[in-house]
Amino acid sequence: MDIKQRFSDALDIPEEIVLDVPVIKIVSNNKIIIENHKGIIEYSKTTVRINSRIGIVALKGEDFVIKYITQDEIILEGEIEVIEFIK
Amino acid sequence: MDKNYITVDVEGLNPEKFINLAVINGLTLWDIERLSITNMRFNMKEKDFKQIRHIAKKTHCRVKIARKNGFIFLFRRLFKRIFFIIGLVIFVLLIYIFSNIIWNIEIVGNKVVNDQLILKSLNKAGLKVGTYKKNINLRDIENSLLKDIKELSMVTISLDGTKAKVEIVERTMPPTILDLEKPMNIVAAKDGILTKVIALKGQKLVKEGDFVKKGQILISGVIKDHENLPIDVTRALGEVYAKTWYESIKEVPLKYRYFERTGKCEKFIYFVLPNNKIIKLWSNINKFQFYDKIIEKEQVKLLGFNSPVTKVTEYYYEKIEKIKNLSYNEAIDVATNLADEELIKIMPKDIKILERKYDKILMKDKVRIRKLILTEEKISKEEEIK
Repeated sequence: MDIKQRFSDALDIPEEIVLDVPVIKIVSNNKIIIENHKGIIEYSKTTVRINSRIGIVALKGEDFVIKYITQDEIILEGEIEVIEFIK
Repeated sequence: MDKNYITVDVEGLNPEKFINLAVINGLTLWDIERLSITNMRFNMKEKDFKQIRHIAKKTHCRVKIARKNGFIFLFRRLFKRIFFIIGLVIFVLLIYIFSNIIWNIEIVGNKVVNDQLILKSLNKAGLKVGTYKKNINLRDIENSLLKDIKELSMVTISLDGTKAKVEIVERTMPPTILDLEKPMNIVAAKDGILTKVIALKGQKLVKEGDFVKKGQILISGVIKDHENLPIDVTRALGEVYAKTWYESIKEVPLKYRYFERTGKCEKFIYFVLPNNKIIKLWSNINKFQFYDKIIEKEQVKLLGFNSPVTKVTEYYYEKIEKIKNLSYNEAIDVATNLADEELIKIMPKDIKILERKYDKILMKDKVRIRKLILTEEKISKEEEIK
């Protein structure tokens, strides 16, 4: 195991803060919340690709709208069909 | 989110890059939507727009505000027309103030009591044209009006918009009772020959057929015995009728002078304020030697309401003196007309005419007309005994 992961386990600090990995939360099939992102690579109505520490999170679907975007959070709405992680 | 935000269109080859850069700079964007390959639309706070421009330049994009949402922008736009807003506020304020002022007082239901008297009393109580509605207590005014004018038995004041309606019910006053203890004589009001004497109380001093002079005692309130000693003093009651006459004598010379209007007319207008101050628009100098002067007075109306200012118009009609040679017949006609006019003026209107007499005297250069009308009328008049 990674030393950072062990560290977070020991101190009970959430992983995402220590490891800087994305937290992805999906509500039904029409809302997805991604924390700790590293910017948008591509955004259109049918495909969204979001950069993160573990690679690219690629979404396919329809009628994507970025509801809200800040430095550490993206809320995306639309009909999600595929979620793909590309290393 | 904040309710006051702007909608921005961004155009460029890589708008994602633009958004990433904006987000890294700490901006918050929402409702990002792809319009086409090169265009995106998003919402953001208005105060960050300056920063966005900077980022757009860096990423070779173009930004444009598509829409401003929220009240603050509306206010800001209105603030640019501050005088328009001030005008609007003043307008609303004036409407409010003026609709709270009484502009019209209507008096309904009075038969005997004069409108003017009621208005005066209302004025005293505090209700007049121009009073602010909230400053008056209608019930107080009603009470004070009832106290002020005894002939009223009920007063109801209601406000209908800017109109105050005063409804009045009058009291039927008891008839005035003759004070029989007050000593009074009955005297003649004018000269005449008595035709009828009705004495109800008191001592009769005259009889029918007597000639009486103005001021003579007809029925005495002082009752005397045979030796002319006063026994009692009372109030004499009775009516006395007499033949009276009205006379008019007119002389008209055959060389008759009269005035004729030339048709020239001068008009002067001035205004009189309530404190009798006169405002002249131009000075009036009357150039005519003989003239007829006609004065017309008119209340100046402002927006349909009577203002206290009176407009006075003076007309001066020029006339010239003319001399006409009349025949005897014409002169008689003129004199008769003049006499008739005078008689109409001096005679009371409802009077019983007994006889008309008419004399004419023709002289060398003039005509004299004498008209005499014999009438019968009541000549008795009460007079207090001191």
